[in-house]
Amino acid sequence: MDLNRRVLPERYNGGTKPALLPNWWQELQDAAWAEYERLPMPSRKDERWRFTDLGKLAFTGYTAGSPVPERSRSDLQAFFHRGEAPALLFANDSLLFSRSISPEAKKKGVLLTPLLEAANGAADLLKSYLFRERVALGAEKLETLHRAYATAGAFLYVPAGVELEQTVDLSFWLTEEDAATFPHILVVLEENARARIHLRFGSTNPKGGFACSVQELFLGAGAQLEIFTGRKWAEGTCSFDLASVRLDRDANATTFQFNQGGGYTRTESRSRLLGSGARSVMLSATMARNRQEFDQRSFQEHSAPNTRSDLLYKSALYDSSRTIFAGMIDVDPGAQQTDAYQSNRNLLLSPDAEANALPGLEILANDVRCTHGATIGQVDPEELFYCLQRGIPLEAAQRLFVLGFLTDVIDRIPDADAKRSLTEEIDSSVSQPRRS
Amino acid sequence: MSLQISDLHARIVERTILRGISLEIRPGETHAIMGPNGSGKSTLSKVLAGHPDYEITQGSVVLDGVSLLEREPDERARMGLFLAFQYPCEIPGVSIANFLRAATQARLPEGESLSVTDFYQKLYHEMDALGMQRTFSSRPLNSGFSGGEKKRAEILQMAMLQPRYAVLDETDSGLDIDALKVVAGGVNRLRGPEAGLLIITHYQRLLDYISPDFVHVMVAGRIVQSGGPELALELEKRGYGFLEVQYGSSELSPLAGAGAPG
Ligand SMILES: Nc1ncnc2c1ncn2[C@@H]1O[C@H](COP(=O)(O)OP(=O)(O)OP(=O)(O)O)[C@@H](O)[C@H]1O
Ligand SMILES: [Mg+2]
Repeated sequence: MDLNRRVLPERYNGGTKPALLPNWWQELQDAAWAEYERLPMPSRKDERWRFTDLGKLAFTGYTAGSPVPERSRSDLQAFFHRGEAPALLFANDSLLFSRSISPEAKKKGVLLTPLLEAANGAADLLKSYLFRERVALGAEKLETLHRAYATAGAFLYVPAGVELEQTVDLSFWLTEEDAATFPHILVVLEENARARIHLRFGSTNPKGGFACSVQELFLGAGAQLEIFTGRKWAEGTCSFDLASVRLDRDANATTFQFNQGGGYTRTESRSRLLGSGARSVMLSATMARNRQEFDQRSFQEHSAPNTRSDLLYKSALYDSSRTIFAGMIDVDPGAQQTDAYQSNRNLLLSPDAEANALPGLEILANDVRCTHGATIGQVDPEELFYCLQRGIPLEAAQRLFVLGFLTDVIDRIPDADAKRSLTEEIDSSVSQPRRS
Repeated sequence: MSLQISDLHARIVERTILRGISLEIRPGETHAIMGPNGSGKSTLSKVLAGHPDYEITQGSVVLDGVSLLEREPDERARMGLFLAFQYPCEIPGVSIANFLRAATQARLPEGESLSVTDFYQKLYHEMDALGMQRTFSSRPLNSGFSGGEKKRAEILQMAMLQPRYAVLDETDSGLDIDALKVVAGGVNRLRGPEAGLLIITHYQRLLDYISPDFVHVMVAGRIVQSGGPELALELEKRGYGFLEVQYGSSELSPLAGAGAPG
């Protein structure tokens, strides 16, 4: 199939339980498809695709809803059973495994369910949030494609005043080179609710695939969300991850992404600070290798007074990899006492790597504090010589520099477990033998 | 067995700095090099360590029978050469402990991995001996360290890596009296029949604690005089003036092109 031609996949082949798509959802899909066909393809002329290597975007030759081979299923099962947290695991958009939240949390009204189940069991609640947000930082066509296809995903609902202590693990996998996935993550935290999510994207196949995910995160007044996203698609995978977080008064969100693998990865992240006192921390650490491209766009939308946003994106680039960062801080006229920060730092470890940074500000209020900046640097030859003089070989020295470079962003992950597991992951990732 | 430097000439961007250095350091020996600012002492240390900015135009360096100059800096280090830098650079975000783990790991045979417990035991032992707080080990290497702390950290690294030949480039400068004693103690602990030391210094005070077997004077890229510990005392009294008159500055050296004295 081509993603340009609509083919409705069969749902849940090999999955746990089939569920039907309700009419209202089918109508949403039909409308999205019509919009998808109308929207233009990403183009170099569009400022929001500036620097993107459009040749790396691939929309054809994928199948939505590919069956999951037994071998991948048992690999994923082994992976799944290493965890203990409440979790949902999808592969090629089929739900393979799930572990529910604790009975105590259930009693308090917390809901963690696959979207399709929610569509049948909690339709009214789901309907009032699903597909409400638009990230719209350039990938509108992909966003509508997502809406036309997405059925796999998770709905997490935490009622007012409830703190979900367990971290929720969500993972989405591709098992075939020609498979496509459209993960949807919908999180609703009512007033003063709290939750933490660990989201993972990965492949069991060595090469290729297509992914287009959307996160819609709704934070009521005083709510707190931490969401940690780890991406590690197979080499050559084309992926789009579009996320919007809406924050009411005094709500607090920390999003952290750790990016590696894939072929072309575009992330669009929008923080909407809609109530006074809201705060959003946006962190990203990327390790780009080979010919990978990471194309990251962000938008810090200050619509209310006394709001804070703090963005730090760091990338280490090996080989012939590329990164793009284009960020915008947007301060409405009414958003006085905004405190916004945006920083993008890149470390080039190879003369063939290329980092592009486009920090941006648009400020319509007069009493604000906004800082932005970007750097692109190389390893200091004197620092390298110092490491070599201690007998540390070049590759190991580079590993130290990358770890050192990423330290400050990793240190800002609030959750100690997440921090430890990330440090280990980065450690093993920088230690992996490089392909030349 | 020795670190043997023979007729070493080196230059940086068209400017010749070392003009025929010959020196042999045997395990168990401690040599001191003194000499005026700009005479080429740090250049010698960096040339030995393999700094890429310098071009060797003549001469050889042989470490325990193996020619050094074709080797990469990290290989030289693993062969047993250590340089305590005059100006140690900051390695942001990399803790002393992680840095030294990488350096220690690099010395293990392929496939063998470091015992973390043994490593920390040794690290804390050496830190205690150098009067360093253990919490220091988690601080990024040299970042924001005071001058004296940087020098202590150099000695800590030397103690951990147990080099066969160590070059200490002005490790005494910037140290207060107490720190000087601690650092000298660290150096003396390395001394023994197995280790050869080359100590670059301007001051007799370090040599009071680490008494050298040989003292050499470098002027304008050459060793112009060698002797025993008494030479250092004489220099302390008389300064370098008399030698500079005799052997010139690097710009107008009357001996340019001639071989090394001695
Ligand atoms: N990278 C460089 N570029 C140009 N000149 C250099 C460079 N490095 C060293 N030199 C020059 O080489 C000469 C020797 O310098 P070196 O640092 O070896 O002196 P030194 O004997 O260690 O002096 P000090 O006692 O002040 O430490 C100096 O004149 C210095 O300016
Ligand atoms: Mg010097």
